[in-house]
Amino acid sequence: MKKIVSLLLAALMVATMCFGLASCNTPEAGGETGDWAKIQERGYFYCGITLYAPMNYYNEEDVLVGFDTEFAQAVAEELGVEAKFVTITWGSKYLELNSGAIDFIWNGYTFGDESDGTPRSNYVDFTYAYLNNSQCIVTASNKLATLNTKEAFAGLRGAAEGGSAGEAVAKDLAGESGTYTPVAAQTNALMELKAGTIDFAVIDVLMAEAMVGQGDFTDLAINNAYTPEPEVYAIGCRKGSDMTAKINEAILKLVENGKLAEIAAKYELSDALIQNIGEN
Amino acid sequence: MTFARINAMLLEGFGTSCQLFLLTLVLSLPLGLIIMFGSTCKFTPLRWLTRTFVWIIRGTPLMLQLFVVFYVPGMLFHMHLFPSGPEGRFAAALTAFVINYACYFSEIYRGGFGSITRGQYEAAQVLGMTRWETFRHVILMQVVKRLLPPMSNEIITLVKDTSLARTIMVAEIFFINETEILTKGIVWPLFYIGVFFLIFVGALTLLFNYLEKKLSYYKV
Amino acid sequence: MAFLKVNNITKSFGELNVLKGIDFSLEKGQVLSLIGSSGSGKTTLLRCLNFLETPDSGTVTVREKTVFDAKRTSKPSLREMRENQLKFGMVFQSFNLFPQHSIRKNLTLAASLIEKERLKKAHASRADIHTAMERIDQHANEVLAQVGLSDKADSYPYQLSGGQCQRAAIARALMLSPDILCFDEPTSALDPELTGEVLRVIRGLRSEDRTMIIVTHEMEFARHVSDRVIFMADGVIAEEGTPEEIFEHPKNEKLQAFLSHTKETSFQED
Repeated sequence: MKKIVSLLLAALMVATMCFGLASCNTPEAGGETGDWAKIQERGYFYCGITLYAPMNYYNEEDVLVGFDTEFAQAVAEELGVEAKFVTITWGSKYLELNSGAIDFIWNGYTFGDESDGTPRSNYVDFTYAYLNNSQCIVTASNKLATLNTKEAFAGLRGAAEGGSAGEAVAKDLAGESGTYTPVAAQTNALMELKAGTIDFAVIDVLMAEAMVGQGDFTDLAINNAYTPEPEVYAIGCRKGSDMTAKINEAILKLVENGKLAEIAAKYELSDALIQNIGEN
Repeated sequence: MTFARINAMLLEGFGTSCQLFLLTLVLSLPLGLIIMFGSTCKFTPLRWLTRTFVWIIRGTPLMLQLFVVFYVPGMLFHMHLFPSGPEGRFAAALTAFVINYACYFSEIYRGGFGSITRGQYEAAQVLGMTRWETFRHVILMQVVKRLLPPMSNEIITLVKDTSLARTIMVAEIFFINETEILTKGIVWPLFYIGVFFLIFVGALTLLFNYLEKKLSYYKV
Repeated sequence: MAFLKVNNITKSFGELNVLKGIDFSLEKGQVLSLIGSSGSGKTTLLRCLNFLETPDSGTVTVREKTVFDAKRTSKPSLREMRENQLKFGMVFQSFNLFPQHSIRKNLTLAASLIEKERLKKAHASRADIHTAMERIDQHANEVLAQVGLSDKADSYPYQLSGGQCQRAAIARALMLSPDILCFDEPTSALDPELTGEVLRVIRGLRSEDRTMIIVTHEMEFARHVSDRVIFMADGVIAEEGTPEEIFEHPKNEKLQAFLSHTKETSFQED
């Protein structure tokens, strides 16, 4: 009996502590609307990224470059703050965003649905879309001849980045008889392919064009047996955050002064850049 | 990527792992002692509170604790205990590690102190020794000798557990390897990392063997 | 006034009344043996005297100074507790030597701690402390010689036989020169062939006019070494007297039964 009372007492104390923590924070609750003020105060914002070309990657000089890197830096400059980047696993992106560990999902983030069909706009507020993209299939280059129809992928082992736009495509292709493996980042899917632990990967076409067939991935190739629906990239902001409007404002300025087109040209993405940003 | 570049990245990651290891050790060893005092306290509510806490920490995965420490305060209470940069992530990981390991250590301590017979305390008492003198001159070294084998086990586990910090994106050696090297299809660093750990654990093993040998001049 | 006076000591553990009012007194230099069957309360009595148990009632007086009074409400100071504690020395059944210290260190540890504290309070110089420590070492050598362990000074307890361990434990108790030296079944944990050497050492101490209380099952030994014998049964003193009275002319029925039981046990001195 004494033990039970003590246990209850302990539970009560823990509960009180939790509520205490919650209540002492009430003034800050719903603080998303104050994101801009907070970012201004600390002088920087954090973008959650995974590393891959051409969006965010380390160049030969060990400097973080890429379209999204320079894009974020240009936006930050417009806003008078600094852009910082943190490498995350893609599956943790909402956890990171909602806990405030990062401020934006800014890494070739597709405006669309999660693989379970939930619209991503349920989780984030999107800024204007800025790049055209689509998912594409990558296989070993010596399999191009045999894997030449959508049906040929049924029953095979597929992979895509967990929580990415490619998930649904990969699941669909592999079908009931095949397997689908979510991996931590798009590049992991390429690595699995190279290791032969999967048969095909579904990744962003922009990334595939930049990485597949070269460097460490010479024996891989884009497989055009099936071309999924086109899609667009946008930046994901915390739901209800006042940053969405701030970023949009800055994007329009970068379109206007030609800076965004300049960055796109630098990474050979001029064709992919959306022409009339902010009008759709 | 050149060998030198990969080497530099891995060493940086390993540096983070080692820092996490050392700081966890330095902080959790004394904290474990405090927790042990709590869980052997004569005041029943405090004892049960501490034991419940230890039960929760030892009963849940360290990975979950990392999530809870780093993400949950921000998600539920809009409270940012740790800044979002690498330092903040490291601090969060360190917090979770210290709490987790302190609880394990506290139980090892409890076993160690529990194994000292009442006769030792009584012998010290009848010789007029104070409680502190008894602890310092009679109990401590006996406990240390008994604790050494289980502690060395736990400490070696800690070396390898540091890789769990990647759960909250701490750039320790495995995270760096996975996000920056393995993704390029370069596999050999995995073995290289294995060698790092082997050497590190090997050095620790030698240290513990040395200590055990030093303490082998008596039997308890 | 007697050297040691024990007045109406009672002690119970929960429902169990172990001591039901013990009164006795002892003169300086006397040796008292406590005998009785297991569970009669003799060990508890010894532990009460050594502050290892707190009696529920009663008083203990040594040299006319009350060292324990159950009615006392104020807590004695640390210094006073230590002073009272050191009036008694205790030799345990299971030796309780400190395993990590050499035999010499076992002997000197407590003495040097006490001496260091005293000298530090008196702001003694480092040299003075050094001299004091050497004096303690010297004393330890003498005491070790007395119990026949001079060659074991640098050994560790695990290297010694049971009998040697117990002699070392006796030496350790002697180091602090207690007014009353207590033995709690000092030979019960020993192999029969090792009891002799320990009992011989205790006998040797007797000749120095040391006040001693010995709880023992060695009847022959109790008979030869004691000035007085107390027979305890069920938490009370059932009979008390000289060894001759107790062993030759027991009056109490329980004592008679007890003695006939233990007749086979005899103490051999080789």
